[in-house]
Amino acid sequence: MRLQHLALVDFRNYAAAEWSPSPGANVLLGSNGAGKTNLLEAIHLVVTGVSPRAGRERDLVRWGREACSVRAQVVRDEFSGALDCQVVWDRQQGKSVRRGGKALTGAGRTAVLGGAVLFSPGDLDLVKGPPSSRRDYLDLAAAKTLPRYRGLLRRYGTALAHRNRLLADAASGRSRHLSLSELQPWTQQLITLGGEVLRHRLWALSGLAAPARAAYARLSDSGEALTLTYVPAAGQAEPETAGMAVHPANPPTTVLPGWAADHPPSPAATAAHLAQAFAERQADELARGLTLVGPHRDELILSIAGAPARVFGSQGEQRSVALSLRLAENVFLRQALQDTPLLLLDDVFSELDARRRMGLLGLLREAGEGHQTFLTGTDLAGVPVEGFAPMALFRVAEGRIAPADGH
Amino acid sequence: MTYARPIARLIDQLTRLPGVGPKTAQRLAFHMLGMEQSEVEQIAKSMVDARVSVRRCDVCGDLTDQRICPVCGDPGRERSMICVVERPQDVAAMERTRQYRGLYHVLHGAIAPLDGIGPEQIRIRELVARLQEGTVREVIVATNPDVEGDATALFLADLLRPLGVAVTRLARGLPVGGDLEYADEVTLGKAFEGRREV
Repeated sequence: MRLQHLALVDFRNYAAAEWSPSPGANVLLGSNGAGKTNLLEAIHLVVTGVSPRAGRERDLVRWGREACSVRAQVVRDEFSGALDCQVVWDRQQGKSVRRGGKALTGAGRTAVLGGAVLFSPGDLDLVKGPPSSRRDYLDLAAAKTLPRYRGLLRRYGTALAHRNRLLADAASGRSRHLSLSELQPWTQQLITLGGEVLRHRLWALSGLAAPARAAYARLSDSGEALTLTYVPAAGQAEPETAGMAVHPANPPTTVLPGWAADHPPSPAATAAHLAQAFAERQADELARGLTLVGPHRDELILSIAGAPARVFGSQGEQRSVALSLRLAENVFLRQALQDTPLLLLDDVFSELDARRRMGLLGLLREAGEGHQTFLTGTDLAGVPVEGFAPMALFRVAEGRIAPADGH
Repeated sequence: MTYARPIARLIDQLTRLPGVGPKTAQRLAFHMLGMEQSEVEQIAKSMVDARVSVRRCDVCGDLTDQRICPVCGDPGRERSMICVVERPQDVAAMERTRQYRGLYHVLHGAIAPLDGIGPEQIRIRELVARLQEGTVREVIVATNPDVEGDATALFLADLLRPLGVAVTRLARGLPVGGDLEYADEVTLGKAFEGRREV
């Protein structure tokens, strides 16, 4: 996939801007607050249909304006012409995502998610944040490759909320004694839906683990290996602390017997596993008034040379792990979707020391022809520009994007 | 802008209806003020009449103006099957197929703990009572295909199977007459899972 032309109207700090990026690597330079990150956000929004930033999407509209538009000409392959992609956010009417002039609705919208991968400095949370940030990482990779995954997660979340309400009301004495026959339909749904979530996550993980390890090897040079381990909450006494309590010399290996990453479990296997876990934790669940079993409590443990990176990694290692995860997402999407997503790397160089920068450039070079990349930075200092063969430099200032006097 | 008190009150009352906001209410109100008085009286009378005379069928719970609804009272209907639905509108939808000749049971809701709705709050007790007679062989659960509808179906299956009735659920999948290439991914995925041997 290649972005040929981008046009912004009243988007964040851009009143009206047009830009034709280069097909290879694009380096966007500008001072803090110039709008470099906003530009990456616009690309992500128009290609995938969603803003990568948490928070209210209505803030995309420039202050004092009624609506914003991001429009792009995107080439998917060299045989067909450019596709006209547009996202309009209107304060009155909300968002509309258009492809070739036609508005996408409901299920169709989620099908365009896989067009871009973004690394931002906040991704350090993938390593240092709570388990939910790592679950979100897997869920995003699954959602980008499986159109029905987001709906599945939503169903799971609704069923979970109903079941938690039943358990909480019973535990707090707000309702009369909870009959197990009333709990059972919800347990049954969590087993079915949770099993599907689990299988899709493991399937995504099987495509992410190897590229993440390969990327980390290039970024670190230390020879230490990055390992991604999925640990289901079921069967763990306290899943939140399981990763932390592990001694470096004794890493958590897998999960459960027979659940190797390259052999995702069958529906019957996940159902049996979850059913057993629910049976074992029933007394706990009733006492605590909370659902303790299921993918919403699972953990993805990232370890370097066997030690959990969340606890034992240095700042530099943690940054490299976060970047490796996004680069892995890029490789995974390329394989799963048979297309090259746009790679958006926000302020990536300031995060890395000189050796790691070279490693990253090497990886980007190997990603090969036809892989369009967008990088931002405040200045060229520390950006080894000679690392790129075809590279275009742009300067972002005062809501404009202009070719920079390059090298 | 302030309206004369009767107009303001009419607008205010109309906004209580679902799907009617202040603007629509205003339009409806002024339309009514331009109608013949007899026409307005007819509308008002129909509203009150419907509210007063319509009640739930003693047997199935569907809305009717009799003690027993026409379906339950029809000797030609198959008495060994009961189709369980969430709302009266769903009975009307099933009847439009002209295919199903059995009886109905309207739950008036679905199990939803978040909304404080448990099995006692919907008409499950009445359904079990109907099955005690022993003429029903199959209960077809046609609740909505959302998590609440599914939970209700699972609850009914656990509850009713021990009574010796078959409990079935409507299939979900591709719409009839549609082209495969135009089906959305979610529907197609579901249909794939629900595939059957031909």
